[in-house]
Amino acid sequence: MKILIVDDFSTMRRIIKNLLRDLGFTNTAEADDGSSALPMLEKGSFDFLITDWNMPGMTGIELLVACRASDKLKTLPILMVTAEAKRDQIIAAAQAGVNGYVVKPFTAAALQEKIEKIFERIEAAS
Amino acid sequence: MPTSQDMSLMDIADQAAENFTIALRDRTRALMTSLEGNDLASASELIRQINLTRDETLYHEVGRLTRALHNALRDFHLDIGLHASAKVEHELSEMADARSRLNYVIKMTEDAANLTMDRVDEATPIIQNLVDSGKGLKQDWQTFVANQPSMTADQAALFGRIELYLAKVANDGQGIHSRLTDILMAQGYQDLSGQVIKRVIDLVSDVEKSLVRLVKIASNVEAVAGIQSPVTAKTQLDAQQRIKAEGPQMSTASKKDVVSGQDDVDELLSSLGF
Repeated sequence: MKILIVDDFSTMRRIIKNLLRDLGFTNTAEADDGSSALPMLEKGSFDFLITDWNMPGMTGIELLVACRASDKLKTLPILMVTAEAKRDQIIAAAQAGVNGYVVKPFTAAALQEKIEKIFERIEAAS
Repeated sequence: MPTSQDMSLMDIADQAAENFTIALRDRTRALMTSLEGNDLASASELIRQINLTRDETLYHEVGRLTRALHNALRDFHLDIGLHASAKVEHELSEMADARSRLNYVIKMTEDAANLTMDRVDEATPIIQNLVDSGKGLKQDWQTFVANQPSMTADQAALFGRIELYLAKVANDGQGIHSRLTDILMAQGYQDLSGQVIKRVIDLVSDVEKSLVRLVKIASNVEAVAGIQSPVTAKTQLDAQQRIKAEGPQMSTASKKDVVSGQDDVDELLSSLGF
């Protein structure tokens, strides 16, 4: 399982990376915004994307839309981990095709639960 | 922060407006008397005087406005490049200083968070090692005790205590590990506070740019006299910004359009069929 973590704050990337390691996911890569993440996703063989929303350059919601518009990435599971907490924003992310939404500050348990739920759904659908 | 200079400028402005009102009232009375007496010559002279007073007052007020703006800019130590062809320099301004201070806060919190996480990363394998060796030793110990042909009551009690201790090492080690995870999660404050500070930095930049623009306008008194501030359709702007990133929300309890936590997010998403 190869996971890409996208956040402009290195602190948050490190937190998520450590949590994933505790959950047994050690194959991770990092990007600091959507425009550096997108080519990595297009080229690499990532199985899962965890992205922030508010980033300079290309934002997380733009990355989400770009993934869904790409043949290769349209089914990539995407979890948004963000401080954006407006109902309209969450609805917009859901409509754009996000698989899960975790609002910051979050707990290790919340992140684990959302990740497990996403993979349960994917297994159930296949 | 209003200085005594600002206060006195405001007092002067109030005084000027009051003087104009008094002058207008006096002359209007005189004008009525002239008109009632059919004295058209002095009536038109009074109208000329009223116009003159109005123009003078306006001219003085515009001049004061320009000076007040210059003072405000000088107080912020902005180099506005009004009298030189040099481009507007931000580096020396107090606002640029405010921005660099805020960037410093971001840097300091980032360093502190990273140092904390470094120590957590170092402590995690140490604890894991204790847990693993505790578990292994406990098993070996149990086998060893079971193979003892005979032992005294004292020995049995001591062996029991050692076994309990080894179990406790493994158990407490797990407890420490979960607390280390909590410490790691708490470092998320750096991201959240950093996002808010970045927003304030942008705001300071905007205020600075607006002030510089204002002074450039005010430097041309005629332009100020004829100025009409463009009105932006705020509602239109709001609608455009709605789905943009806003950063961490503050005082969420009083905002109806903001979720109050993960439970709210889950509820909203499940109402959307998630």
